[in-house]
Amino acid sequence: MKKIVSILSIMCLAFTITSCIKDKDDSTTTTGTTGTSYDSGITFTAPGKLTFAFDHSFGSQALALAPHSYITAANDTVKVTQLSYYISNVTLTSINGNKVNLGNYNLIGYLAGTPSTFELNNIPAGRYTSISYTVGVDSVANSTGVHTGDLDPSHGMYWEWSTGYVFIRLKGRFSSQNTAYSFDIGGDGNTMAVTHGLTAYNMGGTMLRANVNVDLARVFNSPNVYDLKTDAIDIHSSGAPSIPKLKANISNAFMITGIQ
Amino acid sequence: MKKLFILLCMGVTTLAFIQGCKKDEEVNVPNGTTSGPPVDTTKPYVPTPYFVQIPIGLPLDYPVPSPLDNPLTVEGVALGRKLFHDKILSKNSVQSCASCHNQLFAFTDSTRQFSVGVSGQAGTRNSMPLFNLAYVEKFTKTDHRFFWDGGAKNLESQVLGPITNPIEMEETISNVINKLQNHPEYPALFKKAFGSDSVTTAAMMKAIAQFERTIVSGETRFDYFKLFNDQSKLTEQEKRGFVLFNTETKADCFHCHNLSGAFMTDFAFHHNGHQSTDKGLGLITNNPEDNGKFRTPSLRNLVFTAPYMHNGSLATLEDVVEFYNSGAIRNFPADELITKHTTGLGLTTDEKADLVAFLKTITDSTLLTKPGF
Repeated sequence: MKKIVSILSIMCLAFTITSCIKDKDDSTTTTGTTGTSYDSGITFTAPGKLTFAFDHSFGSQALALAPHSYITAANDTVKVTQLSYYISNVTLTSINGNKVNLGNYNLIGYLAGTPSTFELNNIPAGRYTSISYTVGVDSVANSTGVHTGDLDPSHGMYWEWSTGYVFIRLKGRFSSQNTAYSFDIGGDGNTMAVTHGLTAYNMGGTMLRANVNVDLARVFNSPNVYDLKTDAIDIHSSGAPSIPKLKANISNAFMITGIQ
Repeated sequence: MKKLFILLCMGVTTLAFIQGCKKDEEVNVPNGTTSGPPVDTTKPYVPTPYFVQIPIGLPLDYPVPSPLDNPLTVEGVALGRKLFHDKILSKNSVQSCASCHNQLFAFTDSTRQFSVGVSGQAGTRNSMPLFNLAYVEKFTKTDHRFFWDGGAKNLESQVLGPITNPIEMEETISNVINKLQNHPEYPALFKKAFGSDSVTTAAMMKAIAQFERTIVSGETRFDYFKLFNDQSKLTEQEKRGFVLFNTETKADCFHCHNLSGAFMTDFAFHHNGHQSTDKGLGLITNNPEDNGKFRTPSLRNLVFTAPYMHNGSLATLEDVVEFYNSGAIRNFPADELITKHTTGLGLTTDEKADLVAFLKTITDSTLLTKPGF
């Protein structure tokens, strides 16, 4: 009997091992799977693809455009009419500290009810413990505007009078008078860096999806309380005094909510 | 006889081969005209390099500078020139770049102080002359290269400013691209110039920038005087003006308008003592130290570019000289080069006349009539 148990145990162990090996060696396309077979972080078992999905909320509520309104920490009643931003320089950091820069520039626009996505292809196999990116456009790409795709100036996220892209645009109205506020943040030096740790996830595969939520409540509330009654409501240049406050809040507003 | 016949055959065949090759090559090279038969899509994209003939007063030891990703080509320059003169770039197709940058006035807007946009609104700054811009791009040490306030980092991106400015051509970029894409001629011209008949913002920017880089000017009496010490080129009065220009205790112009170089500008920004409230470079940098600073313009072709200063506030060269002589403010935020003359320049009436006479010698009339511009 003891012998049989031993044999069974060995068989189980062998099965587990082979299934592990099989998972890790699987070069065909698989969606993300979780389980004890993956160490902390996200593991690409073979060169693969990461879909980046951006969802938008105000606090715990899904973001809805005007006339829907929200209350900020400064007790402003705010409505949102437009939210667009560039995500660039996406970089994965592997367990041994290597950084894989996945380049590309992506213009994300808020779409009601559905996340905005882009795909990063040809990610090298490996285990990654963090992902970082820039909200905005680096100074090299920002210097000419002679670009196509998402960086084509015809998308309107561009300052024709002072060469460079609008990194993030947030527009809307506030107060009972429906006063307009309009934030265009751009200019070299005003990019916002975001890093998400991935060690809380034990995921692997060749086709993964990272879900990010952009919480506009944080843009107005934390870490800085942005008071539309006293802070700038019309920002259209690189050096407006309220920009540092907003930048800190915007960086803080991007949160990873899951890996699939 | 038989041998001769064989040789003849070989000769004819070889000739035919050579001719065939030559003919193919000729067909492959686009002819660079702005109209003509539709482009044969089976032929490869082979643009022809464009060489600017450099006038005597500019550096002759290197070609007109252009960025690596946008070399001058015959097809690109031709397309850029057509776009520059085409009202299609503006709202309701009523104005072209040339409407306010007229070749007959060294590419400024006649004698207007402020140009008027498609909706009838006047601007707040004087239309800038366009020549030797490729050198402005090359020698300006900061990112602030074009517009009076340095807002544009290069010629390509400069293109978008006037098109979209609501008080200028007032058009959206996407409208311009749509209009060009649906035009009977432009898609083929874009294909000739950039290899694709899909019109893009980037290609439009590149084409206009290419054309602008070809506009050079440097054929003046003063250039011959300076380069070859040809004393016959300047009158005695003009020579006296030249000395005043270069004398620190007199007119003291040379610090910013450096005559030893070819361009008569220091490619920098200064507050010249004006009393305008326009923030200039400060609008772009948000640095209060830059408020009121504007690009130092070249002193070439002043005869054609009146009125003067960023806001066109001075109608004549006599006014300009009097401004520096007595009108400029002599304290902060004016530049130290202005404030050091605490009581003004103290020029006599004759000296002022001499200076004006000298400034008029830096005039290149060929700029107004060159057919390629």
